[in-house]
This record gives sequence, C-alpha cells and structure tokens, in this order.
Amino acid sequence: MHFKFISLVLLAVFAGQAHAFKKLNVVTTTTDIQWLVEQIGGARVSVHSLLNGTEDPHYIDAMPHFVGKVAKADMFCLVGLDLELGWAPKVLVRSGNKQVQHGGKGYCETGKTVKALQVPKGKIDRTLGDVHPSGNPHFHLGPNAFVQGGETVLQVLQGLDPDGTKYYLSNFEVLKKNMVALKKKVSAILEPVKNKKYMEYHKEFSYFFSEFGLSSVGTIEAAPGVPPSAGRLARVSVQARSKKVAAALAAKTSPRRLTKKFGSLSKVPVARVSVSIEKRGKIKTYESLMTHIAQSLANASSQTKRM
Amino acid sequence: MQNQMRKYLSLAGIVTCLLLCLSRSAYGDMLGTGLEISVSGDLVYDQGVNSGSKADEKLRMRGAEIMLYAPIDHKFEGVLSAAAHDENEETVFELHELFMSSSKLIPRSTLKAGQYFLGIGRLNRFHQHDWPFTRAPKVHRSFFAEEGVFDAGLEYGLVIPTKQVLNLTAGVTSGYRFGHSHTAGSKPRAPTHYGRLSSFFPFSSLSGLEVGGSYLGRTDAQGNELRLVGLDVTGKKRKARQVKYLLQSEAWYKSELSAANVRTEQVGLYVFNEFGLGQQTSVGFRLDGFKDLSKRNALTQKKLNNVSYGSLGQFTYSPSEFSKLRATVSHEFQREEGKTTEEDTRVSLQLIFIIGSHPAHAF
Repeated sequence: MHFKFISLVLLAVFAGQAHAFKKLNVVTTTTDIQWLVEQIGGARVSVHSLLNGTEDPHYIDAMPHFVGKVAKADMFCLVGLDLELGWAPKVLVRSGNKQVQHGGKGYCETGKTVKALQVPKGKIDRTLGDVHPSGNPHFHLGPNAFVQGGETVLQVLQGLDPDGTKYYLSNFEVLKKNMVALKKKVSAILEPVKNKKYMEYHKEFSYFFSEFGLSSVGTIEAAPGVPPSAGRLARVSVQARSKKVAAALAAKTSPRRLTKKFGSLSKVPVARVSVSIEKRGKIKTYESLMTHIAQSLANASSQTKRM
Repeated sequence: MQNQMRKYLSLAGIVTCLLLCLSRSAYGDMLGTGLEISVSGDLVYDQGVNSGSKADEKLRMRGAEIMLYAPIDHKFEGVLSAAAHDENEETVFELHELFMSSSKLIPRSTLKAGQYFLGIGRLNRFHQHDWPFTRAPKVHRSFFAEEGVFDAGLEYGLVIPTKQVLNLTAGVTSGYRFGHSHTAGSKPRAPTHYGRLSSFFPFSSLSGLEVGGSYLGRTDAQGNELRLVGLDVTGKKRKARQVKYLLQSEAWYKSELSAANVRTEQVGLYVFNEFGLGQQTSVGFRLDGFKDLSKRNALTQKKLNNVSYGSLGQFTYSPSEFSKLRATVSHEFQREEGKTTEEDTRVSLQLIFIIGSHPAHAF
C-alpha cells in the first residue's frame, strides 16, 4: 500500500515537472531590444537588459557583472550593426555560454534583418569617424525598421522553442498592428512641424526622420563619435541659421556643454531627449519613447517661432 | 636558433604588413575567415630633469605590436601577437602571444593553451599600450619586468555560479624562464603556477569596483623558490565616451628562497587616480612605494632601512578611442638609512595609436 502511494506521488511530481513550463531566459544589450523581445516572446520569455536605457551603447565596458548574466542565458539579443562591437563580443566570450555566442542557436543579432540606412559606400576608414560599415545601427527609433529587427527575434525564439511558434507569430502580428497605430499617433504630433528642417547631434535620429518624413540637414558632430571642435560648432551654427533649421535633436547622453554652445551660437532650439526606454525613468514603453521624442521636437520647433 | 626565430618573425611581420595594405573589405571578402588584424604603436620620449635621471632622452619606438585573431573553427579561436621593441639600443622583434582558446567547451569556462601574458594582477593582463599610464610603477618593473610576464602553458577561467560576481583564473606554464627574458631558460623544478580570484561590485551599468587576489609560484632549475602574492583594485565610472574616474591599484609581496636557504622579501604598491576633464582630456596622478624587506648592509650585515617612492602627474589627450597623446612628469627617489641615494625626475611624452580592428572595451 505504501509502495503504491509513494509511486503515485512520484509519478505526479515527475508528470508535473514534465509539463512545467520553463520560460526562456533572454538577455539583451539595450532596453529597447528587451521591449521588442517581450512583445514577441510574451509570457514564454523572461527578459533582462544589461543596460538601463540612460547610457550610450557605443561606449560601454565589458562589465564583469554582465558576464555572469549572459553565462546563464538561453538567448542573447543585441542591436548589432557593430553598435556593441567594443564590449558585447568580449562579454559573450567570457561567459563561456556557447549557445548564445555567435553561431549558437540563442544568438540574436536584430540588426541583420533591418534594411539599414547610411551604409557607407566606397572607401571606408576612420577619417570618416567611428563609422559603422554595415549601416546606421539606431534603427529602433524607426518603427518599421524596429519591426524588421523583430523578425530576427521571431526566428531565434522559434528555433529555441518550437512549441511556441504559433504564439510568437501571433504576438508578432499584434506588434506590427500596434506599430502601425503608433506611427499614426506620432505622425499626428509631428504634422504641424513636418515641413521644417532639422539637425541632429549624432546620427541617432536618422530612422526617426526618415520614417516620419522629416528633413534633416546634417549633424552637429564633425564625424560619428568625434565631438565638434569650437571651429566646427561655429561653422555648423552658421549653416543651421542660413538653412533656417527649426530645431536640433540630441540624445541626453550627448555632451551638454556642446549642445548648449550650439544652441547659443545658432539660436536653434536643441531638444535633448531620451533615446531608449528607461528602466528607472518615466519612459517605460516604446510608445512613450516615440511620443516623448516627437513631442519634444514639436515643442522645440514651436520655440523657433517665438525667437 | 634565436636569430633564426627573429628572422622568421620579422618575415611574418612583413607579410602581415603587406596584408594590411589590402583594403579591409577586399581582404575580408577574399578570405572569409573572420580574421581581424590590429596594429598598435607606442612611441615614448623621456627627458631627464635632474642630473641623476636615467632618462634616455631620445624618441623610442617602445612597442609596435601586431595582433591577429580569428575563429579557428566552431570551437576554437586563435591569437597571434608579435611586437617590435626597443631594448638596449636594439630593436627586437619577438613573439608575445600565440595561443588557441575556447569558450565553448566547458560551460561558464574559458580555456587558453599556448603562449600568453599570465592572467594575474591588473597590469600584467593588459598589453602595454592599453595601460592608463606611460611607465610601469617600480613594483611592476621589479617583479614582472618593464612589460609583463608571458610564458607558454595552459590557463583556465571560470565564472563561478554565485550571486556575487566571482571569477577564477588558474594556470600552469613551463616556467623555463620568468619575466621578459629572451633566453631559452632551463627546466624548472616546479613550473610556474598561478591563480587569481576576483570579485566585482557593480554600482551601475557604467561603474563598479573590481577586487582581485593573485598568487604565483615557481622553483627554478637551481632550486630557487619564488612566491608572489598580490591584491589589485580597479574602480571605474564612465559617462558616455568619457571615463569620469578611474582608480587602479596593486600591492605585491615577493618572497624568494634561494637554494642556499637565504630568504629575500620585497613589497611594493601603486595607487593611480585619473579624472576625466572633458570629452577628450583627462588628468592622472600616481603614487608608488617599494621596500626591500631583506636588504642588508654589505659590511655590517645589518638590515638597511630603505624605501623607494615615486609619484607622477599626467595629462592625456585622446581625440578618439584609437589614439592618445600623453604628457607625464614623474619623480622617483630611493632612500637608505635616511639618505636619498637615487633621484630621477623626468618628463615623458607618449603617443599611442591603434589601427585595424576595433579595440575591446575591457573594464
């Protein structure tokens, strides 16, 4: 009798374990990619971002505490297009987790399915600055491009968890619909200021400008990753005034002193905005990020009228 | 044999330079192997300020290092680094590192087999051109030579599965020689064996503190025992491309027991602080101390009260992460029995550049 009872208990325990659903542990480099994976992976994933959303992902060190998080991940998602080139490969190698390293089935480089803008042509070298040979990696600020990146997430999730294929596909379709609705909402914010000219500190807003039909006349930086000299600031300020630039966009991580100087020389309002979803800030979703940027730009543009 | 090796390496260097002449894209397409090439240059000029200075007062090509690395196959990666140095008025082209490594064989582990810089302390784990200051502190020069200790062997790294970040490195190398030696050496009684256990305390995704403890032991062919114990501390705070603050410090204790049963002990440390001034500029300060605990008067055999101090101040201009210009004023002096026996004040100018593949941002 005891034997039968114990056998039944053990059977119940093992049967329960067999059906217990284990969420995929996904580690992402940025909070934006975290949001993207959460939209597609839904309840079948547990996602953690290494960054908080307040950093410049170009300039991150391969922090030792990142290594431990990646070591136990089932999937690792990065922006790609060489954005995290300086640190993510080192973190991956040191993690000793072959599944999430390049070539592993849990490696998810979202940029590879994006039709990248500004892919340099001809001779590429560092006289052009810290240029990305595969194209502009800041695609998350363009909803269409961001969805393209989501295709890689979808493929990798399906490969790791074939049982969830239908679920992931369904979530991806919802994401696409939501992005269409979001684009309409953001376009409506930008409609009154659509026909003006804009600048950006770094080419972080190229996808944003492109997808919302805004005209960008250039960057404040002399070259990608190279802070402008005093001479460059003076020249670009004169250009901004002569081209009647309505406003400039700069990430909060860009040097405040330089954007302030540009603003005072050119009299062009500079909107310093968050460019990522924040773990510990007000911008918690992709929708709030996009509306924040659009509203900031619209507000800055309207300041020009008063000047 | 050594000359042949040098000629061979020189030839390898010329071939590499020729390959570098090809454009990156054409080269990558041609081979499709993931081969990455990085070349660093490190030029130093030292100007003595006081009469006792040992500054050589000439522009030296302190190091020209060529590094090639690529996946060998789906399991292993290969690394080759060779460097030309100016050593005693002669340019020496030597193999620094040649190893294959894998992070795909054992979970949470990395394995390295071949010749490499030993994974102990802080400075020894970085190539000289990646150091945050121009000249190594006296403790490093005395215990690890000007550049660092490399040897041929096997090194294992483990990310320990604990909530607190813990990393373990352990290795064994041939131990035929120790330090930056160009001799073949001889078979040791106990090979060089070493380990480092480090922990990391993150303050944010851009700042944290790493603390490591290292040990190294070796008994050479004559029976001389060497023991090194060290503590390294590195703290960093970054804001975008600018390192706002860097703290780097190491303390080392060295004990040698000769075959004749005579023990010598030395201890030294340095503390370096660097502050970012702007997007491209920083200032740094370093204090060094070194003491020979067993130094004796040659006549009386009484212990000599001795100590060496060093200090430096530096200014670094870094237009991008691929180049640095650094000016340093340093002062070192040695005292014995209350008297200053040596003084060296010098001004140094250093130029560092990296061409080729993007350098890794190590913490």
